[in-house]
Amino acid sequence: MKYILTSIMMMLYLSAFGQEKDSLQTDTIKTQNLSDVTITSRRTGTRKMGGAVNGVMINKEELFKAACCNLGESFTTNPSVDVNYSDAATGAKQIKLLGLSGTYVQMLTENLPNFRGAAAPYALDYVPGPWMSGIQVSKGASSVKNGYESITGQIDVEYLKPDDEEGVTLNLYGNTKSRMDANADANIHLNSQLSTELLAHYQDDYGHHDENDDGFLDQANVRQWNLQNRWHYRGYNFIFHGGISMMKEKREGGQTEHHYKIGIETNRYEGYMKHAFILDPAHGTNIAVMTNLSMHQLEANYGHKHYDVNQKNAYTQMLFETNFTKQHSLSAGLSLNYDYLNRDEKETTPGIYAQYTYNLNDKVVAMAGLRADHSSRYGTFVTPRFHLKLTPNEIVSLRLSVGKGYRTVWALAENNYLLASGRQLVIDDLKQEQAWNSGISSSFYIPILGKTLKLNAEYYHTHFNRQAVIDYDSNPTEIRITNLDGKSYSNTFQIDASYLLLEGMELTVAWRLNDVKSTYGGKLMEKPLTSRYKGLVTASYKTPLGIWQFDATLQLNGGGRMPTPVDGLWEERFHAYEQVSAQITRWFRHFSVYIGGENLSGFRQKQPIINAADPWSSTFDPTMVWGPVHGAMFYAGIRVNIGRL
Amino acid sequence: MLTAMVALAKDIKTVVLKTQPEMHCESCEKKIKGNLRFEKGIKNIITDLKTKTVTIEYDADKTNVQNIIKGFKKIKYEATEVKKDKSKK
Repeated sequence: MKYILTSIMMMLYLSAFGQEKDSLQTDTIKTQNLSDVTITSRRTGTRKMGGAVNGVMINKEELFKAACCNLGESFTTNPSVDVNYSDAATGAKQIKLLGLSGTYVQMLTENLPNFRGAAAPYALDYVPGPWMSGIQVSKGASSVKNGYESITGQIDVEYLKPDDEEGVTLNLYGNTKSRMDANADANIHLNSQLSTELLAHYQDDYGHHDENDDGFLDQANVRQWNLQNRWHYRGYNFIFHGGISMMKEKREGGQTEHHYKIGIETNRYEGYMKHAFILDPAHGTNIAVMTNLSMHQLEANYGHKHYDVNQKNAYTQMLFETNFTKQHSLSAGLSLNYDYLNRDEKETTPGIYAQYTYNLNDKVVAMAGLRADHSSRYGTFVTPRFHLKLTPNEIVSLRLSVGKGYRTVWALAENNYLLASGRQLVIDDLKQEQAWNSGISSSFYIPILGKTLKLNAEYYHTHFNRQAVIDYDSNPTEIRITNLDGKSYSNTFQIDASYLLLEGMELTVAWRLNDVKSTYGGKLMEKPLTSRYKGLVTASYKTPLGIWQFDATLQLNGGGRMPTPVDGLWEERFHAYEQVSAQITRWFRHFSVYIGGENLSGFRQKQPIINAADPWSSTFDPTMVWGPVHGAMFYAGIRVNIGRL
Repeated sequence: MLTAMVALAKDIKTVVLKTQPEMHCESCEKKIKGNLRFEKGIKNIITDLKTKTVTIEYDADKTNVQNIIKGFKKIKYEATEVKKDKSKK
């Protein structure tokens, strides 16, 4: 939606986004003239978003710092989000934002809610990296425009646009863990107003790697076909975006020689359209109608356990936006969300919202939103959210936010990978989750030695009133998804700084502390499998004309609590570990080549699968993953640009 | 040491150019920088949207203004010099 409305909203706060028409061979050297002084500096890979919400835009430059085969691999070079494996046998991955699991982050594509329920465990693999033009990560209570669900934040994926410069891009990638990726994007402008685009992806993991000799594949072999067709029309007072996509994936894991096998087959179909009718360009007055439909068919086998689901989701939203004056703007709308998993698991939720923004010369931006929704399962509920941004001068800005979020839990669909565990999976009659999130963040732009030190500090607190808790601790023979009975909260503090150390060389340093606790079996305990802290150092150097690029990242992940040990099969806590990755890119006029390595220090969790010797026992468990499951990996790739100047 | 002396001996010149069509947005800047950097002898490219000019530093032993203008033609821009070359010490 942001893209649709860029032209009409840019006067407020989105002025930079309309310029994101990157081709592959673009430069990242930005020149600015201040009176008679010329300053040449590298354009950074991430930048703070404008507006009252604390957000970061991860752009193409950042995504080029690593291979970024898919969305899940796009956060390794920056401190915005953590991505962890949640299951060693299936390769399910989970985002962690503000110390909490990915289900509390609302996933959006093109600013429409997506990847709900059954799609959640493997969703990070469903967005190929070369398809993305950028990712927006918003922390804390977000806008009420996209619903009531975001509790810790939102991640919005922006795909390449049909109206970008015409041409074709091909990307081929291969790594030493027997994975190959092939991607293509092509777009054509049919006339001055209408353009279309085709995105294609194929990946194949064909190896049988078992580095720790536990008899299990270190990671699932995934074969995926993914195709998307997008359209864009821009008239005088009407803008249309639409598209369809389909994905087929086969995921195979388990024992390399014996009979315990995991097989997951997925077919996913999506369609979306967004219409914006511009009524008064001078005041940014417009009405937009947006719809997203998806069908997610999943057939999963975990040893002898079987799970099938065919989830259908329909979401539609109509919104009205206007800027009464430069200071006062309003957004109001209606929405309808429908989820159907089976006869017992379905929900229809109509909603209404209004959001008012006060902007005093960009020095004070206050945004207050309120929405009311009615769930066919849980009745009516109200979502208030408030954001304030203060920018007293060019050096400092301060953001405050507070807001409530709700979530309907599709427990088995969202956590079906837990069926891989030998424990019995028990799901109680769950209530709707409900949490408050509040936060404060500050940004400083401090001039030092002719360059700017960008310093950010933020603190967020999330407090659950109702939560579906995944309890490994109360009973050693079961994993119980149950209603919270007691306290559950998360405190996170992060500080990060980036500085242009030398001409073309940027250094980023970040540190985050997590204090996440929940009540398990009546006892307030540290959330298991969650690192207590994370440190990150990245260095990126680009030669003056941007022909060579060198990137390196060091991550330090803190230790944390393991679920209560059973029969001494594992330790009470896991320890801290480091990860190093590096990449070299050489740019040519019409193509670029890159080589790199991940997890170069070779650290891996020694026993990612508990009791791997007996996969049919109740103590078998591949779901207690806290670190890398495979050692050092090297890769190489090429991006070829045809037709784009 | 020898390399440094050779580098010092390079004949680095600067030329300021205007383009047709005019460079009016960040996308134009990217296209010009993204392509001209691969022309032989180019050492630095500075674009200025305010004055719509491109300032190019080049090694005069390897290229000249005419070759740079040909480089602009490859990406469908007509470039004209707005200043005389100025040697850089």
